[in-house]
Amino acid sequence: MENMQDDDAVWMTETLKALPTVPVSAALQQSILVSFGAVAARRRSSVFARFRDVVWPGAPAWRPAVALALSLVIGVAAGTLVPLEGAMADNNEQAISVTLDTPPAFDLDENS
Amino acid sequence: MIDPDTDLVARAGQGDRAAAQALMARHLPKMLTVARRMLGNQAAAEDAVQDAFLKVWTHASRWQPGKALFETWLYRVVMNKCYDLLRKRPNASLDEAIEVPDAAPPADAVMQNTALGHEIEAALAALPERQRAAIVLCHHQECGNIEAAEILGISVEALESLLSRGRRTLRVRLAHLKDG
Repeated sequence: MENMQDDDAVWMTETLKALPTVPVSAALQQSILVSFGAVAARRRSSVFARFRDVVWPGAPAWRPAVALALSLVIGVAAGTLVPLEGAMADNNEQAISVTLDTPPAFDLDENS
Repeated sequence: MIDPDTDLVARAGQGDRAAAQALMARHLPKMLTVARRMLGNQAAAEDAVQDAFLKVWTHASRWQPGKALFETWLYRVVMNKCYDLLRKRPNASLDEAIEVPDAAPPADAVMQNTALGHEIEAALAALPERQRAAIVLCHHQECGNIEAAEILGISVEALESLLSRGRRTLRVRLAHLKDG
C-alpha cells in the first residue's frame, strides 16, 4: 500500500514536470516595483505626518511650515541684534569686575 | 531556523529598492507558478501575485523574523489571494478558467508537449482547490509536507489525506499517460 503511494507520488512529480513553465513578464516586474515605490513614498509621507502631528496636532501642513518660516525670520533678525547687545553686556560686566577687583580706596584698619 | 530573506525584508521595509528587487527576483517566479497552477489563467495569476507583493511591501517594515519563514508566509498570502479569486468566479466553467498557452502553430514535438501540458493543467484545475493546492505545493514546488501543511494552515495528516485523494483522482484522469 505504502509502495503504491510512493509510486504515485513519484509519478505525480514526474507528470507535473510536463507542465509548461510560467513566464514572468517584464511588465509584471515593473508593476510590482512601482507598487513598492508607492508604498515607500506613502511611508515617508506618513513619517512626516506623524512629526507634524507632534509639532501641531491636527493642523494642516501649511501652519507648521509658516510657523517654522516665521521663527526662522525672527531668529535671523534677533541674531543680527544680539551680538551688539551682547558686546555691551560684556563691557558692563568687565567694568563691574574691574571695580570689584580694585582694592578699596580706604582701609578700615588704618583707623584702628 | 535561519531565514535567508530576513535581511532583504528588513531593508525593503526601510525603503531599499534594491532589496525589494532582489526579494522579487528570488520569489516571483515560484509564486507566479503556484498562482498560475491554482487559477489556470495567467492574467489572474499576475493579479494575485501583484496583490501579494503589495502586502509584502506594506508589512515589510513590521516583519518579525522567527515566527515563520518569509517564503512560507508569502506562499500563504498568494494561496489566500488565489482562494479569493476562485471564490469570485464560482460558476466559471473550466474552459473559461484554463487558457490555451500559445496560439502560434508549433512544431510536432512542441505541439505534443503543449497539448500534454494543457491536458495536465486541465486535470489539475478540475481538482477541488484544497487538493490542487496540496498537489501543487508538494509535487510541483517541492515543498516538504510540514511546510505545505503550514502554508495551507492544516495538519500534516490532513495534508497527506488531500494529497492522497488528489493523486488518486489525477491518476484516474490521466491514466492514459501513466500507461503510456
